[in-house]
Amino acid sequence: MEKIMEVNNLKKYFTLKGSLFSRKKILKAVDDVSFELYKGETLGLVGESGSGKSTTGRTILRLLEPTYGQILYRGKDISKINGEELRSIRKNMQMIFQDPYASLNPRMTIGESIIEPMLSHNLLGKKDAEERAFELLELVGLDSDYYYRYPHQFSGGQRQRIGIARALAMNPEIIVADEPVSALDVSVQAQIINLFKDLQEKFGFTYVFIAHDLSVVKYLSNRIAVMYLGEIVEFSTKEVLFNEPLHPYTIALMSAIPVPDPRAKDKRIVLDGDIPSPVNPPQGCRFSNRCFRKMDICDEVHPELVEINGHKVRCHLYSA
Amino acid sequence: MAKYITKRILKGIVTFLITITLTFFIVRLMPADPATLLMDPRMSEAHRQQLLKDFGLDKPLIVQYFSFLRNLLKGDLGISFMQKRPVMDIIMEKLPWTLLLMTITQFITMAVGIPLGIYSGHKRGSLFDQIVNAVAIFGISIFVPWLGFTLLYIFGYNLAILPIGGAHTPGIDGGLEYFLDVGKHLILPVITLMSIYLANYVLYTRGSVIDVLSEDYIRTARSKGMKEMRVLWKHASKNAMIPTVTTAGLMIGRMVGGAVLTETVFAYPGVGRMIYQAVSQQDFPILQGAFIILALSVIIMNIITDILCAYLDPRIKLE
Repeated sequence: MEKIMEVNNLKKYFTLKGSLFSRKKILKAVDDVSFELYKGETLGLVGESGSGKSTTGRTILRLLEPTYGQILYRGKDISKINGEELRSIRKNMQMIFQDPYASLNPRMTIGESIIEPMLSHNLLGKKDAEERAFELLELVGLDSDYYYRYPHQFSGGQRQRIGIARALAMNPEIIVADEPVSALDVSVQAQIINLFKDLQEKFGFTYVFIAHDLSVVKYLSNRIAVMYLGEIVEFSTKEVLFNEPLHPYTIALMSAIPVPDPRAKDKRIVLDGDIPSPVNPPQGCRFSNRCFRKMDICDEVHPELVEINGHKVRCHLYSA
Repeated sequence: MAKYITKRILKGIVTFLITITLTFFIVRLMPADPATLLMDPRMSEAHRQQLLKDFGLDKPLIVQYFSFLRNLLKGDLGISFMQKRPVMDIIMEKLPWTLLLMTITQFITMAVGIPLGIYSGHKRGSLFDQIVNAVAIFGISIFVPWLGFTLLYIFGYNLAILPIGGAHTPGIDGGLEYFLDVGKHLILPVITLMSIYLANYVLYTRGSVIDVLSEDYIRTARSKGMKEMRVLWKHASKNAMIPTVTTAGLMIGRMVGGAVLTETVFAYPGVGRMIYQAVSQQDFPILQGAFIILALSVIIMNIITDILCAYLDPRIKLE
């Protein structure tokens, strides 16, 4: 398979402004994340709020400035480029946002939002761009008449379809979808997820699919990276991960997936407490304070990501 | 759209009626009897009664009120107690000067204030932004007569390069010379007024640009690969303009009221100075007239602003 993106040791730190009496704090939103992306695949990024999955997605598209690390797109490091160079690379990578309403300019019609990048990157003339916008709207299952309407005139599901049409306008190679269905009703979620799947089959897009809902990710992804406090804690193909989860965090997440069988025994593993603050992560293993299989070493030594038959995991249980 | 405008205009008319009623009674609450002020103390009581009768002040208040309404419909704002001339004529003499002063001030402040606000909001927290903010706050807090007198002292008296008052030099009329003369008289009042208005535009625009720039659709625009300038002007500024348009509408509406303090300091023959003089002379037909014109203009500008905002923001429903 063709590798189109490679992310090496990506770090994104935010500096929190110190108050009068406290020093500046550093929030490590993404801390040393590496992965590759192959053409036509879907990489799922899962984790709780605050795990750094959205930040990872935004940073690889350079919507956020990486603090450290390489982002190789087709062999070219895009982590430091700026200005015109960055702008021209952006048309190959698009993002679909979580809140489809807020991410559309309320003062522009749907059509204007869709054709703007085509015009601005001089891809097409006005007439052709409009033509393409009509096609795109139909492609995502909307009426082409919607071109002339404003975002507030649509329902949530329709808006997300618009968001998808907008992202497709540039015919990108990589699409980062940041929790694209979590704001939608379950019935609408299924439609949108199917739309994602259809579009990928038709056009061979590469997706980075960010979600906190494992069942959504399971349906779409080829490979899945589980994130916790800015780190990848487990990384494998979908089949392996679901059949044989290794990391206690992943096991707990899996147990939380509802099973559509009322007689199934509830073996849910409930984690205590919340995800710790990324300003002040636990020393040693970051999951140690919530882990149900904690050992003494976990408090002290930060585990490395080790690979067992292509299945990567960051846990002392497997480091030997 | 037509329905929205009609509704808006009807509301405007009701507002106007309430305003003129309030104006009528408030002005008459002034603790003085104009006849006594007008009269030479040596004149007889009969004379005084005659005078009150001439101005219709002998009738009950409610009768006065209805005759005031009747006259208003005819465009008659009454007769000035002091100048013994129709109030309408007096206001029409002053209004062009005030409009000249205010239009120029508004135009310059908008042209300077809006871009400054946008840029400042864009570069939030930068040195530039901090300086702009500090200057704006200083401008808005400064005491106008103090600023006026200081400018007069420096440019009118010490350097003697600018006139110390009035709107034009008597004797010069017509031609380029007159034009330049009027311009020279405008410089100091305009600068003084700008100190107040500029901050309004800068701070409103800056605030709403900051709000808008944190919106998700701005992130979308960036992710689409738009140039930063386009993001700022096309996506952010247009959305940020609504509060600024509202402010501008209100300020333009108030323009006909002139600037009482500034016009008085610079002896500028506008509506503001007229109001100041009318207050000190208890000339309430003039006050009443000025307030009515002011109210009318504010109400009309409000209607225009509302229509403009509805046009600017498709989310404001035209119903």
